[in-house]
Amino acid sequence: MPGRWLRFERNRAPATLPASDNAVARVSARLLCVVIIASTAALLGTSETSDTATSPATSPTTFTTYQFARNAIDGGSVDLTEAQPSATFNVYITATDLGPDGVQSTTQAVVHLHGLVTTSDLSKGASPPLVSIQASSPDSTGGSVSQTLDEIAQTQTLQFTGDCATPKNGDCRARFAVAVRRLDDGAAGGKVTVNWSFDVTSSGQLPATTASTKDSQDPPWTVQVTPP
Amino acid sequence: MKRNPAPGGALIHPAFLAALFVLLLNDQVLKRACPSVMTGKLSDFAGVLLLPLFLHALLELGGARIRRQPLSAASADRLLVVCITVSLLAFALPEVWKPAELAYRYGLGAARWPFQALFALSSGQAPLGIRPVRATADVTDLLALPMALVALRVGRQRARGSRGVSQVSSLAFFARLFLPLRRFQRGRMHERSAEKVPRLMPGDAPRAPGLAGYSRGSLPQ
Repeated sequence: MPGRWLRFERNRAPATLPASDNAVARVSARLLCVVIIASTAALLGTSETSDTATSPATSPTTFTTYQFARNAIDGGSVDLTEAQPSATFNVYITATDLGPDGVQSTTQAVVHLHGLVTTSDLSKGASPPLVSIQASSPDSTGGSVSQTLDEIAQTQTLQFTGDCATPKNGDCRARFAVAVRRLDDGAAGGKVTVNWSFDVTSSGQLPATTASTKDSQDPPWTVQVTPP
Repeated sequence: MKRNPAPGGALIHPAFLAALFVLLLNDQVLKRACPSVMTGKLSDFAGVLLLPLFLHALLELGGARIRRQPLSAASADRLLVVCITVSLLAFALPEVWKPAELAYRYGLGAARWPFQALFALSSGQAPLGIRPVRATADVTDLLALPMALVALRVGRQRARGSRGVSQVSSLAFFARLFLPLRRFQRGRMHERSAEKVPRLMPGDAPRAPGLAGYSRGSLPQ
């Protein structure tokens, strides 16, 4: 094929052509090539590649995974009494920046609740009441409920919403609520003290030539707990 | 038979070059600097004008190369209509039909892949797989469809050669800008010394893409 093309090219340009015509023809052909290349680039580059959606058949199979964790965030404490047998804490997490290498730190977020329940000054002969712990996030499906006498250990998924690709705008947020309630509604008297804290973990991925996982690091977030 | 005087000449038509400039500027600069409805539509308008003329020019050039003579004006006209129809379908269907949008995303992603892979390899990285492009179906993008009429007008001008001479002249003018002056002077001396200088007539085979029918008389002096 190249040989045929070369023969064609040789036959196509007669040797008797004036030098200026040949020169113009060569440069004009180059100009057309430049326009063709520019047009190809413009037409192919008119839409950006989606970094999130990938073809199932040919999607990259290797990523660098970045782990994020913020541990032992104080949730506060509350005394549940006959007068106030239940209380709700609201927690707001705001991403303030992207993670290292521009990775999003807000995917696959999970909150782990833990804490202690203690009782004091209960009525004589009364048994310690069960305490219901309900964690829920309005942006996530489902919630988790548990009942305990002494320890809290619970997990809830979190969903960040907003523009998490550019978190500097400040509207990439997640929120969840922790509702605690004495199941005896205070009938046993005294007070039940709930002291809790929580960890939040998440991860982010970037395409890479070889799969790897980065060590867990503190995410670029601010966390705000609103007590009851 | 009347021949198209300048296969691929639409590539240097002012309307085509303006659309190319707008498309590059809008996609690479304006969309990032000041994203708005205007920048969203600008590329659509430029693209609907650019794509059919580009396809038509490529086919014209390919046809002239394979057949060793330009397409007839009638064939070029028919080819232009086919290119415009294909372009309109490629542009409009993804806006209104989900499977077409998916085909567009993966089709354009596949067309981009060889270049991305080459770039990755030249950067010492392993090429990634085919990634679909982003696309947002928006029926208001169909407002750009009338630009196909402009493409038809520009393409038919080229095909019929009604302005072929002036545009071939402009191509020669651009070409001369890129040529060293000495080479031109040498060429002129050669021409003066020749007893009989062959001239290309409108029906002759092209010497170079885009220069079919070009005669020395149209050279800027």
